[in-house]
Amino acid sequence: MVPKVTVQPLEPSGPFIPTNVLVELTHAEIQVIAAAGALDVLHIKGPALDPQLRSDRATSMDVDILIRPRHLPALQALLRDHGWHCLFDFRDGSTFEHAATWARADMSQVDVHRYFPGFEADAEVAFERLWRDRREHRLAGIGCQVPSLDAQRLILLLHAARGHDERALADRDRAWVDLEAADRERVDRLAVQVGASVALGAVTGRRELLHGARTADLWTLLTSTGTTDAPLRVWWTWVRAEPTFAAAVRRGIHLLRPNRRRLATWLEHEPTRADMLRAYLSQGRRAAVAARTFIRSRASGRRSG
Amino acid sequence: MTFGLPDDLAHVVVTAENETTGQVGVFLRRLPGGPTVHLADSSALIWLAAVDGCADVASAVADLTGADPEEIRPQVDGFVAELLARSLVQVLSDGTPAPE
Repeated sequence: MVPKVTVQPLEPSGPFIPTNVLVELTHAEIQVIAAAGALDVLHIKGPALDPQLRSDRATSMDVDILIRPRHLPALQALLRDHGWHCLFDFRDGSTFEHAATWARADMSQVDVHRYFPGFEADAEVAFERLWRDRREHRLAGIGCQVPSLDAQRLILLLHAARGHDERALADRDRAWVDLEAADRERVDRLAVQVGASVALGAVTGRRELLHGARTADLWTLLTSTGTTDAPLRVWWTWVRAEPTFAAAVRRGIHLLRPNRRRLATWLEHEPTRADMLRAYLSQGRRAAVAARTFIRSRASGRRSG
Repeated sequence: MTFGLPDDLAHVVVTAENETTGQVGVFLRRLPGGPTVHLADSSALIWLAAVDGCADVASAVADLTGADPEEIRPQVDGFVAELLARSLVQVLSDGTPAPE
C-alpha cells in the first residue's frame, strides 16, 4: 500500500515530548543562551557523555552543566531573561552546595554546577583545566562544549562515589575498572591537577591516596555507606572536612537547619511558621547532641594544642 | 532551490528503534525560546528531504513513499514554504547560476 502524503499544521508540540528528546533540546537551548553571552559552559553527564561512558539503560531526566565560576552571575541573568527561574538555589541542594536547579515550563530542569564535588582545587583553576581540553559534541544538532574523555571519566567516577546503586557501580566499571593502565594514569594526573585525588582514591579503593588528607574521612564515608546512614556521624564528618573553623560552623549550622524551599516542595505549599517550627524541633535533639560534641572537641583540641 | 538547516535550529530525529512511546518523527526548536514543534509521518519526511539539500523535495518524498511526484507537489511545496516562513529550514541556493 502506498502511504498517503499529508502534511500537518505547524503548531507547537503537545505537552508530551519524550524525556530523552527534551533533555537534548535543553542542552542545545542552554548552549545557545550561554554562547550569546560569551559564557563558558561545559555540558556534563547524560547525553553529553562520550558513547563509551553512557549507560544503555539509564535515561537522564535533567541537564547538567558546569559554568566557569566567574561567569555564573551573567548566566543566571541570561537564564532569567529567557524565561527560566531558579527552582533550588545552591544552598537548597546537596550538602556540597555545588549545583542550583533551574526550570522552565517547556524544558527539562537544568542543574547549574559552580564546581564538581570532589574537586578541591580552586574552582576557577579546576574549570580552566577542564576547559583547556574541551571538545565539541553535537546535541540536538547544536555544537556543545564537553570535557575531554579523561575528564568525563573523572567526573563520572566522582559522581559514582556518592551513589551506591547498580548504576553507580556500572559507571565505576566503565570509567575505571575497564580502563588500561595508561588511561588510569591520565585520569590520576588530571585528578591531581583539579585536587580530586582524595575522592578518586576513595571511589577506586586506593586508601593510600587518602592518607592524611583533611577530606579523607568524608570521602571514605560517602563511598562506603552513603549519606542516609548515621546522620550524626555524617554531620560530624562533614564539619571536620571543612578547611577553617568558620566554614565548619557554617556547614554545621546549615546541615541542621530545615531548608524552606525543600520543605515547601515536600509539603506542596509554602511552609507556615508552625511547619518550620516542627521541622526545627524534629532536628533539635540531633542538633543539640552534635553541637555539644563539636564544641567539646574544639575545646579539648585547644587544650591539647 | 535548495534548503538546509538554520544555524539556530535544534533538531532531534526519533525513529522507531530509539523511541517506544510512539512519538516517532522530528522535534524542532528554534533557539532560544522555541516553541518545540513535532513533525510526524509525511511532514517529517518533507523536512528531512528539504534539509538534506534535495533540489526537488517533492520527487525525493515521492521516491520514499511511492507517491506520484506531480500529485503531491502542491502540498509538498506549500509545506516547504511554511517551513521556510517559520525558519525551520533556510535557503541555501535559489537555483540561479552564480555570475561568472
